[in-house]
Amino acid sequence: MVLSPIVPAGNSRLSILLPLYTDMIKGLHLEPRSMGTTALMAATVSGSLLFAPLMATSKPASITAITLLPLEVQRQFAGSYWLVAASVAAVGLLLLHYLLMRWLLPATNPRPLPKVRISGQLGLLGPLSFAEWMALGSIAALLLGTATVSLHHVQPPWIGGCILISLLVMGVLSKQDFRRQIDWSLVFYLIGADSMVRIMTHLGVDDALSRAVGGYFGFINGRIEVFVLVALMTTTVLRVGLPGTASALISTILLIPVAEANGIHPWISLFLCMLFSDIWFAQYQNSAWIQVVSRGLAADVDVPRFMRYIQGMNLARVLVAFLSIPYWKWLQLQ
Amino acid sequence: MKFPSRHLLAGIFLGISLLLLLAFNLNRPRILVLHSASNESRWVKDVNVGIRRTLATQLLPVTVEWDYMDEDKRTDTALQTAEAHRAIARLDPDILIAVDDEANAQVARHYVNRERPRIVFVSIDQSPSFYGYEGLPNITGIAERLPLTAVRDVLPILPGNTAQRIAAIAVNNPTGQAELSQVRGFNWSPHRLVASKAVATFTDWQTFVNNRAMDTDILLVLSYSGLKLSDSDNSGFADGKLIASWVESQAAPIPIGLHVAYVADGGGLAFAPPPTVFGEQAMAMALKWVENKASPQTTPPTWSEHFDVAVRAGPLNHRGIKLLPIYIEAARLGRRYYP
Repeated sequence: MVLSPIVPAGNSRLSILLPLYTDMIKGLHLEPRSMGTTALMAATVSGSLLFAPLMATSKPASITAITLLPLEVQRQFAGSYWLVAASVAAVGLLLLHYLLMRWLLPATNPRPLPKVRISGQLGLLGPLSFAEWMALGSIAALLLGTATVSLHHVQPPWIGGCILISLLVMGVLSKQDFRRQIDWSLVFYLIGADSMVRIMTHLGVDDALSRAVGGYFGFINGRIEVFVLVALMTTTVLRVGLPGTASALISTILLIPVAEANGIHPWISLFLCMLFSDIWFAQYQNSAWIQVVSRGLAADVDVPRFMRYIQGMNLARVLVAFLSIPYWKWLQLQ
Repeated sequence: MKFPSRHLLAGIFLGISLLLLLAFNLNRPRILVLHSASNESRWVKDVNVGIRRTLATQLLPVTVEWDYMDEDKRTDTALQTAEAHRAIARLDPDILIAVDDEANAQVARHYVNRERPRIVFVSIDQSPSFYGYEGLPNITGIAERLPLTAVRDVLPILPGNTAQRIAAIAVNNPTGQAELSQVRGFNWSPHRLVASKAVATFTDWQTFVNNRAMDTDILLVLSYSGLKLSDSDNSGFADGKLIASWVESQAAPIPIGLHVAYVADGGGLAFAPPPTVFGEQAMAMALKWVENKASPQTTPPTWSEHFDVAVRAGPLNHRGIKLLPIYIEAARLGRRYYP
C-alpha cells in the first residue's frame, strides 16, 4: 500500500517484496506447499497488485490512460482525489482480502518469529545512514506533497523534480546511480505507451474504434449497473488474448465515449477498466505471477488453493465496483 | 545519523529554493476560465484565442486553467456542473471567468457573496442583476448585447418590403431565452417583429420556419447550440451544419444569423458579438484585478459595442442579395468571408 503510489508497476513492487517473502519463509521455517507458504504468497502478490487501480500512479496503464480524460478531469484526478473516489473500492478490497485469507487460507504458524535473530541482523545493519534518511524523507515528501496540492498549488511533476534534484545535490544519488538505479526501462515504457495513445488520438484511431463498437452498447441506456457489467465483459474478453496494460488501455479507449454518451463520468469508466484488467483466471494472464514462476517460487505454493483465493478476489473486484456506485452518486460523479 | 558538513551549504540552498518555489506558487494568481460549451465549439475556440492573445502580451506570472461544461453536447450537464465546482474547490482561483449564461446560472452565481473567487462574467445575454451580480464589489464583466442595430441598418438594402416582417428563433435554453428577450425588447421600427420562439428540437425548429413562409420577410437565427434532433430521450444533437444548410435551403424568409458560427456552418449572413474581443477584454479585466488585489473596488460591468460581420457568398447570390462592399470588406478583415 505504501509502495503503490511511488512504485508505478505491480511487477516492480513484487520484485521488492519477493526477497522479503523468501526471508520470511526461511525465518518462520514454513514447509513447501503448506497453508502458511501459500497464504504468505497470496499476501505478497495481493500486496503488490491490490492497490494498483486505486491510485493514479500505481499502474502504468493508469498513468497512460489518464491522458484520455478531458484536461480538467485529469487535473482533478491526478492527485489524491483518485484515491478519494476509489476509497469504497479500496476499503472493500482490503476487507474482502482479509476475509478470503481467513476463509480460504487460514494459516497458523506454531513457530514464533525469531526475534533474537531479527534484532541481531538489525544490530549488524546499524543505525540508518544519511542516505537512508534522505530516501525516507523523499518518499514522505512525495506522498505528502502530492496529497496536499490543493493547499500549496505546486504541481506533482515539480515536487518529483525537486526531490530528484535534492537527492543529486546532496550526493545521495551519484551520476552512476542516476544511470543504474533509476528504472529507466519503466520510464521509457511509460513514455512509449503514452506516445502510442497520443498518436492513436491524433490519427483518430480511438474515435474509429469507439464508433465501430459504440453502436453495440445502446442497451446501456444510462444505467451505470449495466455499464459496470459491460466494462467487466469488455476488459475480461480482451484480457484473454492481450497483456494487462494493453487490454486496460484498449477497453478504456472503447468505453470512455460510451460512458460519456450515457451520462457516466469518464473517470468511472477508466477506473473500472483498470480494476477489471487485474482479473485473471489462467496463469499466463498475470505477469506478476509469471515472475513468481520464473524465480522458481511457485513450486513451494499450493497452486490450486492459491488460485481459489485469486478467483475469490476476482469476484471481490466486481463486488466493490457495484458497492462504489452509491458513493459515486454521492460524490456527484454519477 | 550525522549530517555530513560538506552538504551544509547545499542543504541551505535547497531549503531556500524550496521555500521560494512554495512562496511563488502560493502567491501566483490563479484564474479559472469556465466555458458553458465544449472546447469543440467555434465560439469557445474564438473566446480562447482572445484570452491567449491578452495573456501573451503581459508579464505577470499567472496560472490559468480551463473548464468546459459541454452544454452543446449534453442535455444534462449535472456532471459537468459538479466538475466545475470541484475545480473551483481544488484550484481556489483568485478570479473565475464565467463565459455565457449557463456557466453563470449553474456555477458562478453560487459564489456571489464569497470573498473568493472574484467573478468576471462574459457574454451573458441576461442582465447582470438576473444573476444577483449588480453592485457587488467582487463581480464585474461584459454583458452580451446582440448587434440588433446593425441588423436593423442592413434591412433596407435587402429585398422585400420597406417595413420588413421579422421572425426570430432560438434554442430553448438560458442563452436562447435571453437572446429572444433582447430581440423582443428591441425597437425595430419601421420594421416589426411578427413571431419569435424558443424550441427544443430540430423538428420544432423546422415547423416554426416552415410556418413563417407567408408572414415573414426576415428570419433571425439566434443560438442553436444544444438543439436536440427530436423529442426522443436518445436523440442526439442537431449538427450546426445541418441546421444552417437546412435554413438556407428551405426557409422562405431571408435568414440572418446572430452568431458567427451560423455562417461558418453554411449560412449566408451574420452579425454577431465578437468572441475574440470578449476573450481579450475578459482576461484584461481579470489581470487588472489581480494586479490591484490590494485595493479591491467595485468595477462596473460593461456592454460590448463591437460586432463581427460574417458573409458566405454562395447562399447570398442564390437569393439574389447584393450587400454593400463595406460589409464584404468588414467580413474579409475579420477572416469571416467565405467566397
